[in-house]
Amino acid sequence: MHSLKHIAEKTVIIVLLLTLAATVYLTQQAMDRYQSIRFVNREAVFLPKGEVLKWLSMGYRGAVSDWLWIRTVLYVGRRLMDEDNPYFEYAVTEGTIHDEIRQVRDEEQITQLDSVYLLDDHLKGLLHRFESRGLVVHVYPMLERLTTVDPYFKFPYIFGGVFIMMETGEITAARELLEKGYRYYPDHWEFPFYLGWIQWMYRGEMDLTQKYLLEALQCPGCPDYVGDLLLGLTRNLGSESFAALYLSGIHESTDNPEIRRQVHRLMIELQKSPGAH
Amino acid sequence: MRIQAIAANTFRETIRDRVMINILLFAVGLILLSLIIGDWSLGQQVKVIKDLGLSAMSVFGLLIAVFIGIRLMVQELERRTIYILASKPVHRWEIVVGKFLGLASTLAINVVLMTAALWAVDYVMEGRIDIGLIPAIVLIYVEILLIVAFAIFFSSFISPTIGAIMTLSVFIVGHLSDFLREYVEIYPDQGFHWFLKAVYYIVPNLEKLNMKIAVVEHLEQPPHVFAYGLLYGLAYLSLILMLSILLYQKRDF
Repeated sequence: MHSLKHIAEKTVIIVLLLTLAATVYLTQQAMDRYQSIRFVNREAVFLPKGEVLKWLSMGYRGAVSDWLWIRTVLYVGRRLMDEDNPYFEYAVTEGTIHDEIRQVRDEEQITQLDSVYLLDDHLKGLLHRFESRGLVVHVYPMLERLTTVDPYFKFPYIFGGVFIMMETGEITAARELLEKGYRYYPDHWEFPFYLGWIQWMYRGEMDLTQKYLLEALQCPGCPDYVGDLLLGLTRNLGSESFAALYLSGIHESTDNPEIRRQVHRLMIELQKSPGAH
Repeated sequence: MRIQAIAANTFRETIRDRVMINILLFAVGLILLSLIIGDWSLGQQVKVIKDLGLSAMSVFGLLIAVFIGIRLMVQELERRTIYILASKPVHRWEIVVGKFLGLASTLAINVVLMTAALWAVDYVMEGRIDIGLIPAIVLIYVEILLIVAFAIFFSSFISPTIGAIMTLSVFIVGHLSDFLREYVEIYPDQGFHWFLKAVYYIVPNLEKLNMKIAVVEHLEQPPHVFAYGLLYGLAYLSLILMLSILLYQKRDF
């Protein structure tokens, strides 16, 4: 009698366990059917100001800035490859750089192109990649916050100042980010080097470019090609050649495969361009 | 000798504590997991691994310090084993110091194990181990010991739950106290700034024991930054430990 009761109890427990396991499995399947898996949400997250985040992160600023950094990278990755990006399909299927610029101009979405340029349209086109303008709205505020939480995290300055700037043509935010990095790393030649690039390429400010390149040269470990660039600038080297020289300098200055790949692509396009010699 | 015996006994007790083992396993797991997380960081793997490793060391060390530290003396009182100890020719200060040193030894082993896990991951990534992390790790350890001292201090006159909350509050305020100083400097004429100043000097400034960013980013630091941090931490924890001893001397059991 006792053993029968024992067996009945065990059976009930096993049946209950199996029922619960089956319920878990089935509900999970049902939920999966209605919810497509998105590895990272493309939507922007609300984040308090950098100073507040600095407070909240307490002794873990490095870890918090890493978290912000990973979110930024994932966000950029999705934006660049996401079909939701308004310029993505156009750029992939039929876009040429000239067409892109024309279309963007027609839609009056880009203001930077109206500013004074010393360079021709083709070169501007090569060095502006407008397919990712949506990035500007969220990426720069994110980078600003993360560099406030950990101002010594060097790579985000370069990432925003060079990589995102080339993707979006957002000069002002890129320049501000690089200047902020330069304040924290006054003896790192990369910052004045990239600031000089922005001033020359996007602002046509030769004097400022010269000033930044001179500052870069005075920093320890500054490579020789910065000197060559300065020389090229003073000898009024042609725009295409100067751009090629600068691009190869940027290519050499970073180990990051993404930036190298992007700059390499621009260098090849520059070589193919009609004005190249 | 008597302190050594109490410390050895506390060490044996705490090293077997399931809470401690679980927290330690979780911390080592997280450090190993940083290999995967670092992979999403666009070439910043090494930084992410080191940041995460040092933060895990600090956070989990803090949890062990609070949860075990607060029970250290209370358990003896609840189990009434304190009477056996008190009936022996042992001074109360020896009990408190012995208990503290016992837990400090357990925590030292934890920190060593977490450091080993972090260096193993670092070796996989960089092909070398970054001994430059040592100053930050030493200060993390001192910070954890300071929290243990506070846990013992609070457990001498309030209940364990309130004591745990108070200890955690010290940790939070300790990391925010730099902002108090900044506030006082920015608004020096505020009537209540003497109060903020007093709070700033009473609460430990745990940011003085924080060299995580400096070692990960290889920022050049004058040697006195580490030395002052170490001295500050050790002096503060000795002070709190002495106050705890005084409170335990007065306590009836």
